[in-house]
Formats: sequence, C-alpha cells, structure tokens
Amino acid sequence: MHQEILLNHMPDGWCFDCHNPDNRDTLRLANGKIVSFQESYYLCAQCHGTVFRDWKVGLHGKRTGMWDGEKQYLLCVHCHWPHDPVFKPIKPLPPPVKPSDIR
Amino acid sequence: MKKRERNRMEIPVNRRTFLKGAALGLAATALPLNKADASFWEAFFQKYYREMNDEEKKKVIQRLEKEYLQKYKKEIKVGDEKALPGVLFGYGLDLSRCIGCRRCVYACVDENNQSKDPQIHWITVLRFKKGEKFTDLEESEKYYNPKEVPEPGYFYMPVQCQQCEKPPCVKACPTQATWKDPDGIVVVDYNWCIGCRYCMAACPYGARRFNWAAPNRKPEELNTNTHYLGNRPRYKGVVEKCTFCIQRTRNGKYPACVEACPVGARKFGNLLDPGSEMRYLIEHKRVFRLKEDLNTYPKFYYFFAYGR
Amino acid sequence: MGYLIKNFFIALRQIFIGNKKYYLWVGFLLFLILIGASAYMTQAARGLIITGMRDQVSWGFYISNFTFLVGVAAAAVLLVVPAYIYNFKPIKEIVLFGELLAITAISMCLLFVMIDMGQPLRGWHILPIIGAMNFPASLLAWDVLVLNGYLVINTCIAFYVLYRLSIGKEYKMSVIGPLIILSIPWAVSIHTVTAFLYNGLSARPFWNASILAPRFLASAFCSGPAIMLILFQIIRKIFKDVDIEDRAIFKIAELIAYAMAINLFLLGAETFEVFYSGTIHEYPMQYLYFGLHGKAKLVPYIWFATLLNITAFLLFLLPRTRENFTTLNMACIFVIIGVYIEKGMGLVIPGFVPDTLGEIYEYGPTVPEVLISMGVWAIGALIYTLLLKFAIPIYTGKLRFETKQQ
Repeated sequence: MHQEILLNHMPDGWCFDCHNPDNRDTLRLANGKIVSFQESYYLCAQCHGTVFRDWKVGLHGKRTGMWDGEKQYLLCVHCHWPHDPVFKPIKPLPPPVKPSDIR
Repeated sequence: MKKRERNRMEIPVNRRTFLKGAALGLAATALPLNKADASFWEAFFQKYYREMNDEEKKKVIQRLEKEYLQKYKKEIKVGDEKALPGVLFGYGLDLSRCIGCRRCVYACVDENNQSKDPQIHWITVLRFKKGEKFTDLEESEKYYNPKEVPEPGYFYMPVQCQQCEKPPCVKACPTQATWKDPDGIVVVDYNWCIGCRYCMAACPYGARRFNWAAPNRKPEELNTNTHYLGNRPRYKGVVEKCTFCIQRTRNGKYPACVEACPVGARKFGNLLDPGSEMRYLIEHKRVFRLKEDLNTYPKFYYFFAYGR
Repeated sequence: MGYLIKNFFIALRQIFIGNKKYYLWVGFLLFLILIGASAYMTQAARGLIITGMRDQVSWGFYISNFTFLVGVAAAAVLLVVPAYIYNFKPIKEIVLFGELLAITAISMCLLFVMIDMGQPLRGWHILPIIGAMNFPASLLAWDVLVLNGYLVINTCIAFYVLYRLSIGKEYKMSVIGPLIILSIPWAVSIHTVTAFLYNGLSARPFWNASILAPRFLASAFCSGPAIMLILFQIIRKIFKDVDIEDRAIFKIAELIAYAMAINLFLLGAETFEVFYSGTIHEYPMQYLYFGLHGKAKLVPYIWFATLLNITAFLLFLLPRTRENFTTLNMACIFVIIGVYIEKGMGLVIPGFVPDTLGEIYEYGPTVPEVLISMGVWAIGALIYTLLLKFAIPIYTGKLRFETKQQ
C-alpha cells in the first residue's frame, strides 16, 4: 500500500524520520518527542531552523489577512508537500505588450 | 489729417463687426452649458484636493460615483480613507524566492482596475542572468515568456512604485497633483493631473504609467471597492501608478500583490511598529534598495532570505 | 487713452491690406494650420496614443520643438537688446525684428507645451493662487513663470517702441531702460531654466550632467541668430524701405561662429567624458551616435546634424564665406537644421534610451504628430508675418498717428 509513495526529501531519508511508527496519527521528532500534525512545524524546524525563525515572526511564506491585526499562520505543509517539497516550475502569466505594439 | 486706408477686400472690419463676431464666438463656447451635465463645469472647476474640506470632498465623491454609475452602469464606491496615524508602510521583496510567474502583476491589474487595452501593468518583473550584471538593470529582460518559470540560470526581480521618502516625482510635478501622504504612500489626484508627464521623466524606477488613450476595462471586470487616490477608474491623459493598494491597506488588509504571490516572496507592514514583520525584516535581513545612489530613500526593500 | 485704442485698431487694419503674394502666403499658412488643427482634433479625441510616445519615451517631438524654440527666443533678444544700450547703430535698427521673433518663438513654445499635455483644459492648475503651482520645487513651474514673464516683457518693449515711433518720437530710455536691463538676464534665465528642468532629473544620467545648461545656451546662440539672419534678408527684400545694413548681418554671423565653436567644444568635452570613462552612462550617447544592441534609428540623423554644424562653423568663421551671401545663407540653413536635430530629438530621445529599467524603445514621430507640429510652426510664421505687417509701416514712418497735441 505504501510502496507507491515516492520520498524525495532529505538524502537517504525514510518514512520514520518523521512519522511515528507506533501511532500513525502523530509525528516523531529526532529526540523521540511526539508532536501532532497540527504542530508539524516543530518537525520541519529541526533541519530548517533559519526558516522556522523567520516563519515565527511572520516573515516566511505567503501573507494573507490583516497586516495590523490577526495574522493567519499557515503550516509548512500548506505550501510544501513533505514527500516532495521542492516547488515545481509553473507556467508564467503573459509578458507585457511591447510599447511598439500599443496602438 | 491722417490717411485712413481702406482695406482692399472691403470687409468692414471695425469695432462693431469685431464685437459681433466676438459675441457669436463666445456664444458658441457656451454650448456645453446646454448639455445636461452641469457636472462638466463642476469637474472643470474642481478644487485642489488637499485644500478641500470634508464637505467638499464628499460632494466631489458623490459626483464621481454618479459619473461612474452613468458610464459603467455599475455602483462604484469611492472611499477617501485618510492615512492611519502612526503608520508608515514598508514593502519587502525576497529575491531568493521570486520565480517570475507574474501572478502579482495580474492580481494588481484586477484589483486596481487597470486598463486592458491599451494595456497597463503597474508591476514590471525583470529577469536577470545569473553571473551577469544585476543592479545595472540595462541587461534585464522584461518580455521573457518561457514555458515554465523559474528558468535555470536566471533570477527575477519585480519593480513597482518604490514609494520613496524623498520622491523625485513629487518634486517635479508642476501642479502638485502627486504628493506623499502621511503614511508614506505617494498618491496621484487623477482629477488634478494635467498630463505633462514630467513626473514620468523624473521617476528613476519606471514606475509611473500614462493613459495614452482612454483606459478600457469591461464593466463586469471592475473592482467596485475603490479609493479616490487609488484604484478608482481613471481618465485619458493622466498618470497612474502603484499605491500599495491604498483602498485595502488603509483598511488593514494586505496589498493584492502580497496575497497573490504563490511563493511568499512579498512582505508588507508598518515600519513604525516595532513588532511588525517589516521592522524585523529591515533590522535582521540584509536589505538593499534600488538606485540608492540617487538618495530617493525608497520604502521598497529587497533582500535575500535563505533559499535554494 | 481713446486715441491709443483707435490708433491700435488702425494699425491692426494693416493686417488685411496687402498684395497678392501676401494673401497667398497667409492663405498657405492658414491651410497648414487647418491641417494641423484637424490632426489635433484626432489627438484631442483619441488621446496622445496617436503619437509615437509611450511610457518608455514619454516626451518626444513636441517637446523637442519646444526646446529648440526656447533657445531661439532667448537668443533673439539677447543678441540685439544690448544695442539699445551700446548704440551700435546697425544693430539698433534690427532690434525690433528680433523682439518680434522672440514673441513669436515664445508663443510657439507655449503652444507646443499645450498640445503635449494629456489634459490641456486643466492647464489652469499650474497657476499660482488659483491653481496649486509647485514653486519653487518644480522646474516646470519656474519655466511657466519665466516664459510668460519673457513674453510680457518683450511685448511691452516692442509695443512701447512701436507706439513711440508711431507718434514720431524716439523711445524714452527712462521707460525702456529698466525693461531692457531686466530682459537680458531674463533671456539667459529662460534657457537656463529650460536646461535645468532636464538637468535636475537624477533618473536620467544623459541629462544629469552640468554641461547641459552651457550647451543649451551655446546652441541657442547658433540657431536663434541664424533664423534672424534669414528673416532680415527676407524683410529687407520685401519691404524695400527697411534698411538693414550688411555690417549688422556680418557681425551677427561672426558671433554665430564663436557660439558654434563653443558648442562643438562642449560636444567634444561631453563625448570624451562619456566614452573615456566607459561607465553605463555611455549607453544613451552610444545609442545616439552608434546604436545600442542593434537599435540605431537616430544614428544617421545625428551624424548628418554634426556634419552640418561643423560645415556651418567653418563657413561662418572664414570671412570669405561669411561675407558671401550664398555661402552665408547656406551656413544659416545648415546651422538651423543641425541645431534643430541635435537639440531637439538628439537631446530629448537619448534621455529616455535606455529607459530607467534598461529597455530600449525606438521612438519616431507619427504622421499626426508631424502634422500638428507643422501646424504650430505655421501659426508661428503667421504670428510673425502679422506682427511685421503691423509693425513695419510704423517703423518706416509710413503710418503715423494723431496724438493729443494734433
């Protein structure tokens, strides 16, 4: 069932670097501590500490909501799929019209 | 006795005929008065915005909303929210993350009612080749159109109005139609601008756009939530530019480009708030601004967070 | 006072009296004006999109013409007004025609600015008190003040002199002296302010060089007097009783030679600085003289202009060619065309190429743009013609008015 999962994260990484083998509804940190899926950022922070530091301040990632009020914090996994986190290239929107083509 | 020379063509050019002609001419220019819009003359004599009191501003906005309703058959709300106290807006752009997808460009176009034909984009995304000139801008390319972005070997930098603290455009404008509001946004009064384009010559960042023809946008594509100094529908012959989405930011929301960016390259906030992410940004990241040698003190900070 | 108004209208009637050539000439100008006006109607309707200007090159042919004409206006007066003070008789007689040329040139400048505006009806916004003039920060506000002030000063001087002549008297130095003293620095200032409005823009390195203001004045002293030399020869041919001595003409031609020498030297200085240092600021000049990244639209024009300027300089310098009317007139034509190209498109367009974000847009005026500009030049020619028609009968003594004494 899990054979078709392709893991493209961390060199020589495997499932139980993140998943808790005893309880598949939780995650496991390197020091053995258990965290819920809602707090998965602790897991990512283990290796991506500098990003975590920025994220805590609101400086990493997409900003939505009110700049002066309630900030909406997205989890890492909202944007980065942990099994294959690198963003794939996307189709750009069209370039502007050249001034010589504006009539 | 002086000689009175008769003119050859025998046209009786004396004071009487001159006055008659002048009266007829004046009458001809009075014709627009017969047209239903007394609003033509109201618009012509509209006062300078910064000298209007709140009463007068309300009347102007009422007139504008009526004009828009007539023109687009749509109710356009024109707000005039003032600058919030204790706020100085700043913008951050993470160059390690921008992939040049231009979603910010088109989000801005839709949010700010930019003309589709002739096309106006307030944001320009420049592409640079890694290893070659960067801050020169001369070697940049803005018409790139690959199948996918980011392209290997290139990086991207969006440019829009830098909302300078010492704006050369404000210095140049002969009618003071553009000025810096207290929250740092450089605004244009589209009913005061005479279209001389001196500000466009003065802007070092190519941020200003001119309406060479009447802006063209389908009524169903109009964003009806507008601001007098921001995204309300503009006119032929006036200058426009990014206003940090004044209609959104003065109501606490992020600009449209910030929310559109799919990779989180754009940051925005209040530079005067010590707890804001913008303050953290300029205090902890190595920020630079474009063409700093010109001493314009932009509030648009570029930086590199960690990235690939 | 009543006499003044009556005499004014009598002189005004002169405009409608003339021979066949006069009517043909005025008719031709009116025809050109009509074409220009109808082209302007399309611009007023559709907007400035009918021109070749776009965001990247936001000033073009209209402002090129404006810049050239401000120089003509400044030089017209600056050259001849000192005659009032130094009493060099040959030049004293032609001062009036120089003043009238200045009035014409300034009127054309104002017209060119008006047709270049996106919202010309809102022009009153630029006025102080009733508008919101950005004085002293904006150089355009300064330009509005000095150009209009110059027009007023010249109109006052010219019409005062004409009025005194018309009642058979000389002008009073006590009246005109202060105006002349004012108009000399004012003439320098109109062109310096125009130079400064380009010079002050840190965004455009091609213009942001201190050599710009001196170059403006030097080239103005070439083109303005050259136009005057041609006009003087036409005037003395048509109005047989207007006496303009050859001595005056040759003196002015000599001054043009020196002005062109300075202009060419400053061009050399600019070229050296830009190309020897070899920074990115060389790109506009490279675009102008050699082309940039394959875009080379202006290259043939600027080389043609430079060739004309150098040839004209030599023709003006050598007394043999300067005092021969054929070569003199050739040199005048050369210098007018040369400076028109160099100070017009050759100044305005490279300021925008490459633009602030590095883009190269090759601007060229469109047909409507050229037709409208031609209409403005025709209006200028018509103004000067009518002013002469009004002034020359008074000047030559053919027309004299009754005064309170008679």
